[in-house]
Amino acid sequence: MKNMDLLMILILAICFGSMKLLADWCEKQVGITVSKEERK
Amino acid sequence: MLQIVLTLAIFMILVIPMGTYMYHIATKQKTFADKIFNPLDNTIYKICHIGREGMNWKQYALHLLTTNAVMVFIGYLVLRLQGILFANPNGIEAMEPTLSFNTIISFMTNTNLQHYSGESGLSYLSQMLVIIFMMFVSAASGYAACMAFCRGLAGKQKDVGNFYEDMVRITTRILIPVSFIAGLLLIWQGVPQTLEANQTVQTIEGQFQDLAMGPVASLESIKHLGTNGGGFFGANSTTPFENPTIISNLIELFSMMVLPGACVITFGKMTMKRKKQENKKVLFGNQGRTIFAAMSILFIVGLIVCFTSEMAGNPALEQAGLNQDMGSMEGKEVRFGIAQSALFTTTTTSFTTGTVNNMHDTLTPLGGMVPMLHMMLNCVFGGKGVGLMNMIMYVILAVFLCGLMIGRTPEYLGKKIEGKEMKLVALVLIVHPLLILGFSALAVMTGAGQAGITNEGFHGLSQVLYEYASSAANNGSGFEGLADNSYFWNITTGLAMFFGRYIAIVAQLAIAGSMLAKRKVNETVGTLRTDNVIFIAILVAVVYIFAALTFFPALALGPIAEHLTLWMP
Repeated sequence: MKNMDLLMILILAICFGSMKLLADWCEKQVGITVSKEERK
Repeated sequence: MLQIVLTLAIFMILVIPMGTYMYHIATKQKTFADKIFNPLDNTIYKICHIGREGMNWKQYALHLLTTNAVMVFIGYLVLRLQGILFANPNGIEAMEPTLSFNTIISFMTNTNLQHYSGESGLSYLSQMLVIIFMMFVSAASGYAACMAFCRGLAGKQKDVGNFYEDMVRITTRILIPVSFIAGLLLIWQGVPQTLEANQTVQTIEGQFQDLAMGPVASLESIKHLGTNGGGFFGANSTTPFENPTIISNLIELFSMMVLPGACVITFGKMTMKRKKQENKKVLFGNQGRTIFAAMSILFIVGLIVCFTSEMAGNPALEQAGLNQDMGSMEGKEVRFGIAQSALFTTTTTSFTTGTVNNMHDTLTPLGGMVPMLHMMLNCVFGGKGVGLMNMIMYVILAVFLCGLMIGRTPEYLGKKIEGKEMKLVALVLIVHPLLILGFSALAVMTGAGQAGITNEGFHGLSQVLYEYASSAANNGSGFEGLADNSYFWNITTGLAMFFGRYIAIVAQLAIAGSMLAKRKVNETVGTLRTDNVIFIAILVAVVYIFAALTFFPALALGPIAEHLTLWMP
C-alpha cells in the first residue's frame, strides 16, 4: 500500500507539473507575436 | 411532452435573472446582496491575505492549478486516513490507493465519477470535507476560469481578473446561498439531513434492513447546482432518499440547468459593444443570443431523439411479452416516467452534471447514444462555464473556416483570429476525442481493460465509450454495468478526467489572454457577422460535422449497430 500511495502521489505530481509545462508552451505561442504587436 | 415544454419554459424564466446577477458579480457591479456579502468577502480576503490585484492569463491559470493541487493532496490524505479519523460512526475503512486517486481527481475536476458507493465507501468526514467541500470549490474554480475567459474576450479591462477574488465571490454570492435554499427545499420534500448512523428497520416481511442515512440534502443541493453529480448513495438520484418526489426532481433539474445557462447570458452582456447598450435592459446580448440559440438547438435535437427512442419501447422486451405501451420503462422510476427520465438524462449529460434519475445502461441504444454524444460534444451548455468556453472554441473554428472560404482574415468580437489562437483551439478540440477514443482503444485492447467490460458485443463497446466520454467531459455519470473499480479503470479514467479538464482550461485562458492583448479592428461590410441566424446554422453544422468526423465510427460500432440489431434483426 505504501508503494501504491507513493506511485499515485507521483502520478498526481507529474500531472500537475505537465500542466505548468503546458502553460509555459502556451505562453510561448501567445507571447511572441504579442511582443511584436507591442513594438509596433 | 407538455411537462417537458413547461419545465423548459420555467428554465427560461429562471435563467435570465440569474445570468444578470452573475454578470453583475463578474463585472463587480452593485447587486442587492452586497450589504450582506461585502463584509463577509472582505473578512475572507483579510484572513487569507488575498491581494485583489488583476492577473494576466498565465498567473490566473497557475494560481488555479496550484490551489487545485493543494486540495487534491489534502483530499487524498483524508480518503486514505478516513478509517482512523473522526466522524466515522459506521466504521468505514481507508479507501484503496488507486480508488482514492480516482476519487480525488474526480471531485477536484468536478467530474464526480464514482467507482465506489458513497454509503459504504466514505465516512461522514470524507463526505463533508472531501466530497461536499470539493463540490463547492471545483465548481467555483470552473466558473472563475469562465469569468476570466469572458473578460479576456470582452477586452474591457487590462487583465483577466483575480482568481482568488473570483473564487470567493462565486462561492459566497452564488453557490452557498442558492444551494442553501435548494437544500431546504429538498429537506421539505423528505431528503434526509442528519449526522446519525445508519438506521436498522424491520420490513413488512419481518426481515431487518439497514437504511443508509447522512447529510444527504446538503450534498444534493450543491451536487446539482455545481453540476457535480456525485451522489451520496450509489443509486444517485434514482433513490427516494436523494430524489423522493416529482417536485424534488424539478428542483434538481433546475439547480443543474440554471448556472450553465446563466453563464451564456453573462457572456452576452459582457461582450456588448458599448456602455450605452450595457445599461439597457438587454436579455442576452447579441453574441450570447447566438450561442444560447445554438446550444438550445443541439439540446432540443438530443432531447427529441432520446424521448422518442424511449417512447418507442424495446422490441426485445415486447417479444418477451412485456407491454411497451408506456415506452421502455426498464431501469426507470415509475414516479418519473419516460418524459422526466429522458429530460433528466439529456440535461445531466448536456449540462455535464452526471447525476442520474434512471439507469443509463438500460436506455434504448439510440436513447443511450444521446447522452454519450452530448458528452462527446461537451458544448451543449456544459457545466460550470465549460460548455460556454468549449462552444466559443467552435465559434472561433466556424469563424476561421468561413474566413478561409471567403478569403478574409477571420475576426471575432472585433479581434483578428490568427494562427496562434487556432493552434490552441485545435489543441482544445482534439484533446477531448483523443482522450475518449485513445483510452477506449486501450481498454478494448488489453486484458485489464476487458476484465471490466460486463457486456459482449456492441453494448460492451458502448459501456467503454460512455465511461471515457463521461470522464473526459467531466460529467461523471456511468453506464453502471462496468466493473470499473480496478487498477486499470481507476488510473485511466483518473487521467482522462485530469487532462480533460486542465488542458482545456489552460489553453482557453491562453486564448483569452491573447485576445485581450489585441487591438480592436473596425467592423466593415465584409466582416462576418457572428450574431445572426445564418451564423447559428453554421455553428450548429460545424459542431455536428466535427462530432461526425471524430466520433461517428465509434458510435456506429456501439449504439448505432446495437439499435440496428435490435430493430432489424
